[in-house]
Amino acid sequence: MIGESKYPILIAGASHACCMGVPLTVESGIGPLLRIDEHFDALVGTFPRDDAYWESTVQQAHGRDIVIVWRGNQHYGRFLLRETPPFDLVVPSHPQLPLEAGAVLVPFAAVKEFWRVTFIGLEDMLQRLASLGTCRAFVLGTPPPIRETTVIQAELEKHSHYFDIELKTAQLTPRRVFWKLWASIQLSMEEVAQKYNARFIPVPEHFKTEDEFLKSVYAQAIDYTHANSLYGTEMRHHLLKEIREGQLNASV
Amino acid sequence: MHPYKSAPSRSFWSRSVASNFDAAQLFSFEGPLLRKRDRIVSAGSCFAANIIPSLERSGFKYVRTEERHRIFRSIPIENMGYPNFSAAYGNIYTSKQLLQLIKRSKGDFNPIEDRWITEGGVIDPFRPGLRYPAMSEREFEVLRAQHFNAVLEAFRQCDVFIFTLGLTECWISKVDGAIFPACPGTISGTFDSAKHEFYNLSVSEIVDDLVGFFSELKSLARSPRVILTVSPVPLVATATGDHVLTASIYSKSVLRVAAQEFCRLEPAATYFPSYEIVAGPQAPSNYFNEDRREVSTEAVEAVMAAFLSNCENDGVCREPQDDSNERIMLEIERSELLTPSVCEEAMVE
Repeated sequence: MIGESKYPILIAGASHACCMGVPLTVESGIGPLLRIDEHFDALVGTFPRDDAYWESTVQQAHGRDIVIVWRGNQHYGRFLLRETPPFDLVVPSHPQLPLEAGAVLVPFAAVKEFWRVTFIGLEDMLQRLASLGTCRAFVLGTPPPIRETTVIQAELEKHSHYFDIELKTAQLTPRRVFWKLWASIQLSMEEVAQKYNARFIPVPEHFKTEDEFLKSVYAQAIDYTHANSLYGTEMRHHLLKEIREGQLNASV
Repeated sequence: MHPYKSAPSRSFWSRSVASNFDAAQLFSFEGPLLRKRDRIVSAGSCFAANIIPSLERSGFKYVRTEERHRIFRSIPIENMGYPNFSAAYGNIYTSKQLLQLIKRSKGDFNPIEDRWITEGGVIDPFRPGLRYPAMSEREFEVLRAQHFNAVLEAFRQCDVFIFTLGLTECWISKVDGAIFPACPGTISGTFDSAKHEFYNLSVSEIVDDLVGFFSELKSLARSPRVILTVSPVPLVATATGDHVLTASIYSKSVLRVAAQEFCRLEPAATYFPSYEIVAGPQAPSNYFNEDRREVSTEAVEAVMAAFLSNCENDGVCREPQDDSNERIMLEIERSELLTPSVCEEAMVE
């Protein structure tokens, strides 16, 4: 497909697409598409997102611009709690960021390899979308971590008793390491996107603080791992500008 | 009566090689070669890595100061022997490379050609096969500093250093004499005849290197001992222009003489005859695989049997304890349990 689609931009993804109007779950019989507004459609389905959801993404892709929001919480899911011994990494785009004292340095290339398994499904889907030749695929960057770890600590203490987890000895991963892990995920997604001729759209600078964490105005009050609806609304405006008004390469 | 009259049977070929050969008898050393309390550090060519599993299974303490972080043990391991030894220096083929390693780690030698900047990352010319190279010069420098600290820590802990001499042929920098583990351009980097040249180490140079290294080691460790071996593995290729067979025999001969000379000079050094066990005329043909270069499992077992028979040994075989996988799951599970209390998506993992 060359040039602009006549259809609304399709957003497909899981929880990090919710703030942009993609429901996490819908009642049976609804879908696969739900109109968000005149410019955007949501691909809906069951949660957790399964192969059927992503198959549906490919099926709905013909003639469309598709924005894929792929996972986005890998750094929280694996590294919420500080490891013993602690580790740190050097991000190529920000090599001068300080390193945590006493941390074991892990090569950035090794961290990217660690994330690779989480992108297998994305690679498969992008490859299929590219082979269709009738759509433009975009991979959207996911929100950076929040700066204030006290919010995270408070939520942990609220929920930890359900899991019998001793928080006196548990420490959170330092926020700068969290950020570096997030950055490594963004870079990995960008490389995956480029590999299959899709365009990676990073989180714009105006969503971030000076030191590149998520601005508090875009953070949810309780769920520290996701951005809020204000973020989602503004992100849709950004996508519209980038995809429909910007000079982007077609996937075919 | 002449001296041969009173010589033991091991002094006679007919009585100890042509018949009654026992590899354990090749070696004579007062006291055990290794004691159970010894902390062992080793380095050397590919053959050197073979001894480590046997030592650990026999309950000896092998020093390791640079292992990958346990949380990343799910990814492919490093290439080319880097994870095999006490620190991630990989294969050390020559005496000059060994001396260079300890000097660089101490900050006493800083090669001018210390990095190759490529599209695939910033490559360490002295560890060119790393699977996970640095992606920026800053990362390169901090990872290298971490590596040097690990090397020094290994040497500090060392009671016994086992070194397997592998090669005499090497490639060096014309600028400052830095020695590369492989000819630039073979694994990574680019060969430049203006900067790189071939060199074949002599007996005296190897002895000088070993003396220099041991002096450096003694400045770090408390009363270390050295065990030298010579790798029986022939050369993959020679840059001498000679046939690879004659070049190999020459190289191994030089290494063997140098090992003997160093042990003669240094009371704390001992030579262990793994080369003779594998490559001597008494060795069975199956000690080498079909290519007549790769050493067989039977050969390694024979070497280790002879080696361990000269060590303090309770005869109990131990499987290495590794609770790292269990701990990794525990930490990941803790993170995953906590996160989905506010994010169900994390449950997908």
